[in-house]
Amino acid sequence: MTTKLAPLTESPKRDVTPTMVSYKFHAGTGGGESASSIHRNFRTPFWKTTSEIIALLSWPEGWNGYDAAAPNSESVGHALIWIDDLYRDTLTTGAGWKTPHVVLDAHGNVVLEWWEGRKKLTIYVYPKTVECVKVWGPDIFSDMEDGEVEGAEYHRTLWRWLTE
Amino acid sequence: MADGVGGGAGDRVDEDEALYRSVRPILWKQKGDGQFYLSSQAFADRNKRPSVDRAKLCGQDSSYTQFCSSDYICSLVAEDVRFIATVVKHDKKGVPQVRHNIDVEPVPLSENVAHAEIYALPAISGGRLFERLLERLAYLAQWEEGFGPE
Repeated sequence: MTTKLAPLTESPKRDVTPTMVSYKFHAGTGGGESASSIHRNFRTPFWKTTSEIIALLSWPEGWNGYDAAAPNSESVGHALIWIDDLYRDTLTTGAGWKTPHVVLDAHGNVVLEWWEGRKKLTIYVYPKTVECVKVWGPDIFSDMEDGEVEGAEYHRTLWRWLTE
Repeated sequence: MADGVGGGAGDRVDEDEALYRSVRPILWKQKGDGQFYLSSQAFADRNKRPSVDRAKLCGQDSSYTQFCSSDYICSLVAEDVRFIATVVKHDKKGVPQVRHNIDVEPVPLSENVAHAEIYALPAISGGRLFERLLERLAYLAQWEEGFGPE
């Protein structure tokens, strides 16, 4: 049996910060995760992150009070796949999982942020690509690096940099 | 970024002016060490021109900038924003191509005379320079007393 998650059509009020989202559950409509895989996800160490990424779909346009766009569903879908890949790839580093802060950027793309001591890692998940900004101080040129995130080895390199 | 009324002409933001930015509670995180971390997306803007309010034009009243009472307010000092001098676009070999000056200019709106915008000159296009700038702005921001998460 396949299942499909669909956000409720009613948008939250604009003057509140969205923190929860409810879903209608359509059994057997195809195209989504199976009920067993959803259940499995809620047992993983990153289930909190997964649920926070899904909850982004409820954020309305202008969620930050300024001009932020509504969530890009393709970015959200990509983020759910990517965070699963990241988790699996980092298992071999021995550093353990760290829960990111989950938000959107001004264009509705998923942003994941980790702070570890002086180090900060920001991940931008676009519909087709993933990019990062590594920060270890305030200077934009000498204390930051950025790049496209691609492949398991780069995931591990990023994770070691963040956690060591 | 909103359409300005008289956008940028005339008045100048003084070096010592405080600039308020409204921050939704979702944009900060408290970690186990008790520290409060502000998301770089606190200054996110579709047009790469983050909006702020000039404190001196809103009676130094942080609540002026809140969209709702649960919003926090952080502030920057104009001089610190202008002092961001290392926004340089490099080519693939690391050779500097464009130096972007960061500034803040008044963009008064019909409903908000205190409105101003942080911007880069020349405008940042492509690459991840603006994302780096967001990190720097979050680093510079201070919570306004009584309007932070503490």
